[in-house]
Amino acid sequence: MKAIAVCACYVKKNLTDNFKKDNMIQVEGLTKRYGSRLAIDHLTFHADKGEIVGFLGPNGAGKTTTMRILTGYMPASEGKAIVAGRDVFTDSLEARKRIGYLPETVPLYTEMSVWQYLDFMGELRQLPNRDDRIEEVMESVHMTDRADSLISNLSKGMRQRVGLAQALLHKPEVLILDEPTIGLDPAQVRDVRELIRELGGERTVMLSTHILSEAQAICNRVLIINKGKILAEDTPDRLRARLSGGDRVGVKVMGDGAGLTEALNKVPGVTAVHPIKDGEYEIDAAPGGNIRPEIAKAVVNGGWNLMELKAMGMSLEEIYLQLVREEAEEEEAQNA
Amino acid sequence: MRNTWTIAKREFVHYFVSPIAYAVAVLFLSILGLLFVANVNNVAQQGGSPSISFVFGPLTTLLLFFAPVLTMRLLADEQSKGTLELLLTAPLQEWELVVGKWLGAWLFGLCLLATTTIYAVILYAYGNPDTGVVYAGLLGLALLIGAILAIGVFASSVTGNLIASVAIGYAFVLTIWIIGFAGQVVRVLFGGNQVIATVTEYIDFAGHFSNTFNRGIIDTTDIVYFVSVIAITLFLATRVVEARRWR
Ligand SMILES: Nc1ncnc2c1ncn2[C@@H]1O[C@H](COP(=O)(O)OP(=O)(O)OP(=O)(O)O)[C@@H](O)[C@H]1O
Ligand SMILES: [Mg+2]
Repeated sequence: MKAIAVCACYVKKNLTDNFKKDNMIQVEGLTKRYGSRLAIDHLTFHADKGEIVGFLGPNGAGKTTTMRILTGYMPASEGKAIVAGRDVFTDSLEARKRIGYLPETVPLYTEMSVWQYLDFMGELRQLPNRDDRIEEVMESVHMTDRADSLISNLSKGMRQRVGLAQALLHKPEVLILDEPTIGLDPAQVRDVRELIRELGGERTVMLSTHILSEAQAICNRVLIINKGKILAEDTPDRLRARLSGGDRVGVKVMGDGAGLTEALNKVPGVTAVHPIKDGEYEIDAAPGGNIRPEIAKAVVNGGWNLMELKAMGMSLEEIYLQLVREEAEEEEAQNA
Repeated sequence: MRNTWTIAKREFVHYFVSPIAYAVAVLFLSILGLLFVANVNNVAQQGGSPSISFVFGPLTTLLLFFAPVLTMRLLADEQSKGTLELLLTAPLQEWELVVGKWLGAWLFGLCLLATTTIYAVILYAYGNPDTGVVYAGLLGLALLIGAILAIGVFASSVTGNLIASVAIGYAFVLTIWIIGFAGQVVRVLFGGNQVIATVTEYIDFAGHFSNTFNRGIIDTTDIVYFVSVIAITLFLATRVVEARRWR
């Protein structure tokens, strides 16, 4: 009996050790007040090595504030943050060496050329073989042909890429990107996402975004944050599965489908029918149990011609809006 | 230390691509040239021997007006353009940033000062100036420029606005100048050995230059004074930059 307890203990200790080692970002109870305004409220989260974590939230949610604390730009009011094994408050300089940061405002020295700028940043980072590394990074952001352009003459998207290049220069273990694809055209958005995906696996990436499809496309894990609090945290797929609750089924019939709403409402398990347009409906069903055969029967028996019947998960978009709405409602209820 | 040099280099190079710095340099040097011609002409007509101190004396006053313009953008621009976020999240300490900014400006100031040696060359060509005054004057001016620029760096650290930065720079520099001037008035009105006059003259820049360096005297008191002004103002500027993080 004793032996088992000792053994269990040993295993447990080992696990925590591994957990710590793989945790590139570890945040506990992080709180920031600007005067009396609470910007972030006891945030706790982590990011493992090689993970791409998305920080998703509406304007003013506290994304930039959190990132600024993680990068050592400003201190927190309370709480603890460890990045790449270094405490960002007590061991700030060492932590900063291991972080690449693209601030939301993409600060650049516009009077410098792209090369001069990266050279300056590389010198501050004390890069060995600076020229080679700058060339490498410029290639990875597709800016090689603009090395000598003044930054003031670059488009928004190109500036974004120069900012990204700057964050990558010193091969940081942790990359913190504040809205990396904002202001880019679709082709560039795809490029940058591709680049970020390539970086993940090797480096830990934390990015913020308003765009849900983006989080869905590139992140291993999503943190949904609103008003300084984490509302949900999971992989995009599981978030969708967990939060959609019931099933949603799409139905399409030939013609305008007059009277179909009533018929569908009579099917047991259906909780709501949303007409989308003539002959197209979306049906919410209670969780558990597959009601598609029942719906098909109801449609066919009622004399409509069934064109299409498909299961639809809730999109991340809807989950996000729902979470934010729920939170607001809760607050109202509390205030009332 | 290496970071200080990185920052200093960037600032120094920036002066040579900045139109404002050029405007300042041109205006500064032309006013100095006019004063030189006028003074030398004057002394020569009275049969005296022109000295380099005729250039160095007015130069100290000119510096009061030009230095805050040279330093205004050093830290103010980083704040208004958001690039301070870049620097403060790089592995760079605040003092390295502040000292680097000052060093870059000082090196440019020394370049301006170097151009005034042309007047020494002219004097040597046509007369017999006191070599001691030339060397001591250059040393004193190098220190004085350093001190005024350090005050400018401090002014630039407290605001993100260029105009405010210049105004604060002038406020400091002129306050110091007025304190010295008031001391002189006291001395004239109430006689030589007034404590107030001694104290105010100690605070003022001019007394540490015109009475010693510009007469060919190198006094450690003056060197200590200028180095202290530089150290204290840069220390304060560092604290201001550090405090920015807490906003
Ligand atoms: N320097 C500041 N001083 C005072 N309040 C601030 C400051 N910076 C941010 N805030 C406040 O903190 C809250 C969080 O802001 P933050 O910039 O972190 O949000 P965000 O999630 O990045 O929003 P966005 O998506 O618009 O970038 C907001 O209410 C904002 O008004
Ligand atoms: Mg933001």
